[in-house]
Amino acid sequence: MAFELLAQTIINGLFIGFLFGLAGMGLTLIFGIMRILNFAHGAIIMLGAYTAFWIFILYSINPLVAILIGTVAGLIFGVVLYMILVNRLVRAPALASLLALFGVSMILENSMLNLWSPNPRSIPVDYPTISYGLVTISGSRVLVSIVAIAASVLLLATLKWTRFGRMIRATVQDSRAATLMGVDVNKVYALGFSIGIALAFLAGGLLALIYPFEPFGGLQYALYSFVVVVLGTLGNPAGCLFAGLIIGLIHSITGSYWTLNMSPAVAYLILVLTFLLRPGGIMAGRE
Amino acid sequence: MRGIGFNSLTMSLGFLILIGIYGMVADTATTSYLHAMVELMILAYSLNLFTGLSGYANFGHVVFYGLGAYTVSVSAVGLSSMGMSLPTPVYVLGAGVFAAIFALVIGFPILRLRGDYFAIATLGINEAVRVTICNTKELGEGRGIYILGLVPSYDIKMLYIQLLLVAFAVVVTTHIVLKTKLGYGLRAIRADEDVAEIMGVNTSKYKIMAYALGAFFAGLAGGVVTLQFACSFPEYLFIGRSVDMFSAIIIGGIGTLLGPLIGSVIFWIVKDALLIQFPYFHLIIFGVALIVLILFFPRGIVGLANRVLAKRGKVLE
Repeated sequence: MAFELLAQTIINGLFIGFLFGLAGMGLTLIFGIMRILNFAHGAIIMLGAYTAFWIFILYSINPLVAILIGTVAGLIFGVVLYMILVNRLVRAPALASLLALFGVSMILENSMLNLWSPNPRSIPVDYPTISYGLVTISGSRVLVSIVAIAASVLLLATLKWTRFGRMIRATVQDSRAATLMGVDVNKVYALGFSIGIALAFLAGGLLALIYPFEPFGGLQYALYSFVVVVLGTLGNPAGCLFAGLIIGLIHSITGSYWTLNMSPAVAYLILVLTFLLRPGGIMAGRE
Repeated sequence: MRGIGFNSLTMSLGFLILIGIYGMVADTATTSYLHAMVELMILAYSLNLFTGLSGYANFGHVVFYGLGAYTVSVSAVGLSSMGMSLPTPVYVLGAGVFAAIFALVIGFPILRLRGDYFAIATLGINEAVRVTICNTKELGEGRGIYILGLVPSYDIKMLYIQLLLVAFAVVVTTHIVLKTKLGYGLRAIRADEDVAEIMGVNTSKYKIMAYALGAFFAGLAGGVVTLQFACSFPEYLFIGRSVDMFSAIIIGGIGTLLGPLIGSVIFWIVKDALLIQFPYFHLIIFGVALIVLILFFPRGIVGLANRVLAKRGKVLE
């Protein structure tokens, strides 16, 4: 029995970990490129959840297709947000950009509250559960993890092997040098930011398949994302995915052996310990 | 400068005396309205002491306010179980001291971080404390701790005077900090921390001093509020409260002496008016206003006034 619980806990943790990793990936990508911490990340994840939810409800299509359409909508939302606000924040002090994005978060959360009420919602689909030996896992978690892994692999491959990916990595290393080498840094900023927002929308949509969500629910995911990106080294997408798995495991173990309510506190403890013991995160020095 | 800083100080203290007298003669509803405004003012000043001067984005400042509140309620419950009770100012001072000690303990590790990392860490600590309180039986979990009848009898006018004394203290402290090496050092850190360090500013000492000082005053405010409502809730640590404080110091002028005062008065009146006029949309309006202020008026009202006054050779602080 004890072994079964442990096995189940680990499996659950790993599957939720992919989602944590994906949620942090947009944040870490934006930070890496622009040195801006997207303080509106949680609200944007929730907006992604609502977008996927409404596409699914209004057009009653396959939820995965709805989530993918929602991701494209996120890309457009990202471009608009960049054009209106974020391009002005690139060279602003950290305090100014944090507060401006905090303002964005207030606008989004309260707009969602007014438009769609504070009632929790979720995408109501039942996928069959899968049992294998000792463990049972819900089909939606498997599906979510597969999409999350696919999106992460796609992002990492784009960064590594395409021309655009090389432009992004050059900007991450040194934006001034990249400009001198002929990289259109403003274009990289705009596209990189939009991809980051699209990833947050994707994470939100996937999340809606597993958990209920509400307008102000973003804060806890934003905080988990902060922990994940710091643990996985800010600006490093691969480290972020790995850290997501660690945090997923810790989340699940805390839930099984203590109480799920304390999971955020344990996560923040890890955050503070990371800052103390390994300020650069687990991937420090491994670019 | 020609003693202009003194003018800003007398203006601030004069205003406090005025609303003090008004609060004492007015009816209790007005007094509690002013009480809440002065509370915001103290929080804005305490945030300004560290964040305003050093430029470090402290998104977990409410943790000190909340810990101050819990210090009062926990000690009141503990003392009353032993059949004891203390005069209210002792509870309030205890709240400030506990918050300052907590700031010293967490300050040493997290003040080594900069910019966004520091913001994440403060947010994380704030939430960690809040979640821990919500899940600790001895701290009342989500229900909070009620101390009705455990502390000396409740009187809004007496509490208002105590709160005003705290406000006086924080204004004078800010004035002193601005005029001494600590203030110059912090502003040097805001301009460029590496350069400040090379020029001989003891950056880590200055940062932790200002951080603990801000925590002390936020703790005092939390203590008075617990006495006012005779309870402490985990809601006191909700980071949404930071919005009010940040808005107040940005409207007034970040890192100045008059700024938090002007900002919190304007913010409080406007917030109240908007809340009545647009109960559902006022926070959206605030979000837009916050962004516009940061982009176009980053120095606030004091900054705007100084642009005009500079032509006459005067400066507000």
